[in-house]
Amino acid sequence: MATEASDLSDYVTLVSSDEFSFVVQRTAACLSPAIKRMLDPTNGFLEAKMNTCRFDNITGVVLEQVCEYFYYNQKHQNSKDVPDMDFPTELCLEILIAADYLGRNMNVPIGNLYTQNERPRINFVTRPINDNAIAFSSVYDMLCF
Amino acid sequence: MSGRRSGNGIRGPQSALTDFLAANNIDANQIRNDFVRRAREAQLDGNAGEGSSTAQIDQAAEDAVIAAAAEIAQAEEDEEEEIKSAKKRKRKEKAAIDRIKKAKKSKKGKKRDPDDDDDDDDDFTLDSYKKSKPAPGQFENCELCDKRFTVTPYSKEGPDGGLLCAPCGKSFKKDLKKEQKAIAKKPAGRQRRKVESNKLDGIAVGGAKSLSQLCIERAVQHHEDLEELGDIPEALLGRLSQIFSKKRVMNAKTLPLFLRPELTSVIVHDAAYLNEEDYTQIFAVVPNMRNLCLSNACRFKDETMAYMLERCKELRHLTLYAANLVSDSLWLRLFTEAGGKLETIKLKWLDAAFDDASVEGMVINCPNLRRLKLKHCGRIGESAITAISRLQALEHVSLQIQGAVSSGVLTDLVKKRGASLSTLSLEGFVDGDDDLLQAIHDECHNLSKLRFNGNDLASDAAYTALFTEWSNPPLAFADFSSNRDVDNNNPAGPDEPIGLASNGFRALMEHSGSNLRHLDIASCRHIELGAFLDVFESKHYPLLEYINLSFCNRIDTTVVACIFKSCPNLKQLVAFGCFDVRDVVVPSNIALIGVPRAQDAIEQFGVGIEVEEALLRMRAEMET
Repeated sequence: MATEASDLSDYVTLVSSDEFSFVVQRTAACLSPAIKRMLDPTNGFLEAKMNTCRFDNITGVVLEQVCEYFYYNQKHQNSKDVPDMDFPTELCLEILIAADYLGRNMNVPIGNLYTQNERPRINFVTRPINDNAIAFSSVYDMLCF
Repeated sequence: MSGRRSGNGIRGPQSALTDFLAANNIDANQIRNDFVRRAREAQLDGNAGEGSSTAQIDQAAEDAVIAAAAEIAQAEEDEEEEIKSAKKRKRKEKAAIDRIKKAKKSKKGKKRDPDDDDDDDDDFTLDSYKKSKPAPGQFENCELCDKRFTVTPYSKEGPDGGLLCAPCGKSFKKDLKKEQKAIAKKPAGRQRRKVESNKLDGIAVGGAKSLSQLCIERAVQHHEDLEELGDIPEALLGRLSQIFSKKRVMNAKTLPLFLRPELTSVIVHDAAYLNEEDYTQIFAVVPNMRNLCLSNACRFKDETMAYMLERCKELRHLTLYAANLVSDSLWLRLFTEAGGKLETIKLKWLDAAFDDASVEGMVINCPNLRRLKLKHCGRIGESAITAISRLQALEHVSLQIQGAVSSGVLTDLVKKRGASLSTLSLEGFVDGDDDLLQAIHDECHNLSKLRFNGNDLASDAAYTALFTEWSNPPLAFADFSSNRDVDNNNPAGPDEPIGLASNGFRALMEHSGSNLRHLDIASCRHIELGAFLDVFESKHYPLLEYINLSFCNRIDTTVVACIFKSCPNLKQLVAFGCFDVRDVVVPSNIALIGVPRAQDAIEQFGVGIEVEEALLRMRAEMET
């Protein structure tokens, strides 16, 4: 499933909880440490194999703003006195929560975790990609805390 | 109106009368046409019965009408019915015109003096060159979407002066507001200062602000419309609370946003606007809090403290700044009732109460105290420090005391508690001497943060001895600012340097360089250029993020270049008053603050240049 070509593809797909898909540049999306981790093939998550990240806690309207921000950030990477990005005020808090989720720094040492079915010991850093790969989002909270 | 109807779109100046009639849907062309039709009909009837037309000579019928009327004026009185009907029509018209005139007058009269009637007429002639507007109740085509709609007094004017239908009007108004907002930008000076301030705050370190920063700022901007924050993670809640405090909008209305029964901490960095009821609300809603932080708590009273003790039985960490309405007896009660569980106490800006006896009470009743900060507490002195030295569990201690404190008392504290301390912050103890530094060297083996500043007694030799072969692991945080000799007559200081000077600085960096993140040696002006070059040239400080070298006046551009090279993780370099630093090319992601060139921004800020390139450019500039 996970061919070299798909690993290197320039674009990745982000899917919101209400099934909106956003195809964004990999470089832009990897601004988020969470997405970067999900898509890193060496971590062997399902997301990296499918080249698709699903967010069950982020709705389409919010994810749209987040994607917009990815490009906004990329565009202004090396500039000074950047104008603030505009977004609908009513989405402010939802975007904030999404930004926190996607941006949380995850330099936490990764322990050994269990999949739901067989509960074998898995080391996420060294584990090779196989068909039993589990989704990053399902273990996200365990990784963070 | 008539122009539009005929569709030629050309319009010249027209008389006020025409305009007025047009505005009221009375059309000269139409009247003439009617007249011609009637005349023809009358002639067909075989009678020149156009007597009615004499009566019709009114404002509406212009030259043509007059001419026509003159031709056929002789014949009259035959067609009584015609005359009657014409008179009726005329009366009706006149009544309508009068009504409209009256309505207009009364409308204007509301706004201004009803006496100056001529004014109305002036407006009338001025307006006559504009497009006429249909009166309320009439139909008009929307200027933008071309839909037909009923004109109301609230219909909005479009971009070209026409009227807009309700939906278009709404959206147009919105756009207009947005535009005006964009145009009415803040004055340039304030905007520039804001940018600088953001950089100094570390909010905008090159490139765009982070998404959460943008959201938080927007939330504060609209704090009055916020009803609740929902299930926001506690870390974010803390961040929001900070910004609310910074913008000074933490008040009775916004406070409930930050209160949820399941929270374990309540953090209000600016409680100045909170009154007794708000405090009561805090403790009523969040009784299980373990961490309470109230800064500027100027209205925190005895009763508030009593209620807190009654409600919050789980309190572990207490930060109370400027709570000057709390009396000594309530401080004592706090320690006796809640002391057993308290692990952190941070108190600042207390001068009305909280004296040595209170500290004594704290020491007796809080055996588990691990973190203690006492600053700007005007009523405590040496005996408080003696008492603190008996706190067995102490790991972090920060002290700042206004009165004189002898070095012996401090040395005693270090000797007793030093072994377990990981933070030692002694601010502005002018009498701290070499013995104190020696005690730190001998007793402290666990420090990661050491602050000893504002001192002009301890000698450079003592600092050197402190850091030489010190069994303590490398420090992460070192603040030795303002340790220098103060003598106006001898600015270079004595031969045996006082304060942190060249050798002391070398020893400090030798000992702690590998782990140091934060280095503050502002005003240590006896450090020579050679020491800086020794320390920063061809060395490597992988973790160093913040350096403050302000008023170390021996520093020159080379040192700054060496710092850029040796500290790959550097974020901020503060160098106020370093007059030999010139023409620095700042690499990206580093903020150089305070290098004096009046015409430039206070801060110089790298954009898209790597360290190597910056150094190359600097070298090139120096050579030219």
